[in-house]
Order: sequence, then structure tokens, then C-alpha cells
Amino acid sequence: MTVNSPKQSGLAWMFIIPFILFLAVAALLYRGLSNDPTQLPSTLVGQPMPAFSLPSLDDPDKIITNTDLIGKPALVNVWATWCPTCMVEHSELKKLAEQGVRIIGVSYKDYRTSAQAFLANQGNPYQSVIFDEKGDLGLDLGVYGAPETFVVDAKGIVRYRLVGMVTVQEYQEKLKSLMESAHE
Amino acid sequence: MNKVLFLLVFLYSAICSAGIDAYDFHGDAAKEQRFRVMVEELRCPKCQNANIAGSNAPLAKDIKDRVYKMMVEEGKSNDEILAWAEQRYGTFITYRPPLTSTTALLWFGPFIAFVVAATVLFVRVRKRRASTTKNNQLSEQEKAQIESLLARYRNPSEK
Repeated sequence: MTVNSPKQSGLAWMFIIPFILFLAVAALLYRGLSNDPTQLPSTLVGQPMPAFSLPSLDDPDKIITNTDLIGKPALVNVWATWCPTCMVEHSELKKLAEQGVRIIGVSYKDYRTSAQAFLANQGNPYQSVIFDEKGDLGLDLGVYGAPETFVVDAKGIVRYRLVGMVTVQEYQEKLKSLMESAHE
Repeated sequence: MNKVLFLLVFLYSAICSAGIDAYDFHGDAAKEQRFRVMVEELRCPKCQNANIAGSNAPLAKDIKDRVYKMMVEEGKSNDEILAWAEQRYGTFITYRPPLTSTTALLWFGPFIAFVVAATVLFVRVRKRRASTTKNNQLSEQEKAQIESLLARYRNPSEK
């Protein structure tokens, strides 16, 4: 004995459609599992470095501006002595500097004496260091967590923003090609 | 002795302070209100689950200081300040994302889901009402089947 059910195929769709929707959402969320939700995309990628005019760390009378960056590709590394990851990153930066990579430092909201002492003791991988005492350049760069490294090509265009420690491997695999290619 | 202890503890609590920033609005209550609303609707890019009003990250303080400076000293409008923030940190920094093709689902999704669910329910209820009135009548075959079952029940010895 069966109950007359003319809409039986319709009933099947009642279950199939939500199930398909569920699969779609599950696939999306599964992909999201491997994303780091705290990573923010940088609004500067494809844009020129923001204009700035700040004293150098070594010599308060010497002013560095954004035009000084143009000419050769560079890594702009935002760091501070109060940032433990930056201290670890330092040895990687020294290795890169030995390989001939041009690294410009931004001493972010740090004490001049602490930063100078650190570089004197541990070595200086930077071609020059901008002293961003108040963090104004940091705000213009969209810095939200030190260390951050911006890849700037020879034309002064930001190609990439890395949050967290730079490693030699990361440089070889990703940053090097970005630095050396010209922006289309 | 207890009274002295109590007095000491009571006086000690007088030195504690709430972390309230002292921004001077020079009596401009409208600007103060604008500021309060704005810092509550900007996300702290460092903590990401707090607004810059409630976050004690140094970056939040920097952004708050800058918002104050732009609003009070430079007299910028809300739109200009938001544009400043979004230019540097992206639209993620505001708790009111703009309506674009990517955020359309975010804005309209719940409403669409509600409409779909309501429609499905409505259609199902209507169908069920229609089908119950149709199937209320037993067919001749079903009547005969019921009769034979009842007969078996009344006389179990019969097969």
C-alpha cells in the first residue's frame, strides 16, 4: 500500500537543492581554511610610494624623501627594536644585503638611540634608514604590524607588501622577480 | 586595624584611572559626537575584531589621534576622513563596507535568503492544503483493503 504522491519528484528537489547549496558553501569555507584572515591586502600595490620627507636615522640633519628611492629596485623594511620578529628577521636581511639586495629601513616609532645601538652592535643591512619617529610614514603605508616589507621597483612603484618576517627563501621565490620586473 | 586597612584600600583605589583619552573639542559638541561615532565605526587593523575606540593597540591610538587632528584641527569632513583611512587600509577598515559587486552578497544575502525561505514555505503550505482536500477521499480499492483488514482484526482465526 503506497500513498498517492504526485509531487514525489518535487519533494526530491526540496532536498537536493539545499544539499547542493550546502556543498557549494562547504567548498568555499574549506578553501578559506587555508587563508590567514588577519592578512590584509595592501592598497599600495601598483601605486607609487607615498610622498614623505623624514630625517635619516644616523644623521638627523639629513632628509630622505620618496624621490631618493627611485632609480634602483629596493625592499623597504619597516622595523623596530621593540618588535621581536624584526630582531629575528635581521639576520635574514643581512644575508640578503650581502647578496647585493638594496634594503631601505624604516625605523618605525622607535627610539633613535636604541635603533642606532642595535645596528651598530648587530650589523646594518640597510643602505639607509628613515627615522619615522611618530609613525606618520607607517600610517601612509598602511602598516598594521611590524615587520612589514614593501617591494618597490626601479620606478618607485610598490609591487608587493609582505607582513611578517622576510626570509632569503621568500626573496628568491617571490620578491626577487617582482623587484626586477618593470610595472606594466 | 580593619578600619585603617579599609581606608588604605579605599584611598588606593582613588589613583586608578579609566583609559579615557582626553581630546579637547573646544566645546563643539557636534564635532565630539561625530568623532565618537567615527572611531566606533572604524576597525582596528591590528586587532581586527575591535573598533579603534575600544582597542588599546598603539596603531589604534595613532589612527584616533590622526582622526582627531583631521576633524578638529583641519576641519575635514567625515567623507574625507573615511577616504583617508580607506586609501591606506582598504575598505576593511570601515564597519560599513561600500556597496560593490563583491559586497552585494553581504548586504543583500540575508534578505534574499529570507525571501527564498518564505517563498518555499508558502508554496509548500499551499500545495499541501490542495493535496489534502484531494486525497481526503479514499479510493474504492483503499476502502476494500481497509474492510478486509478490519475483518481480520475482528476475527483473527479467519485468514
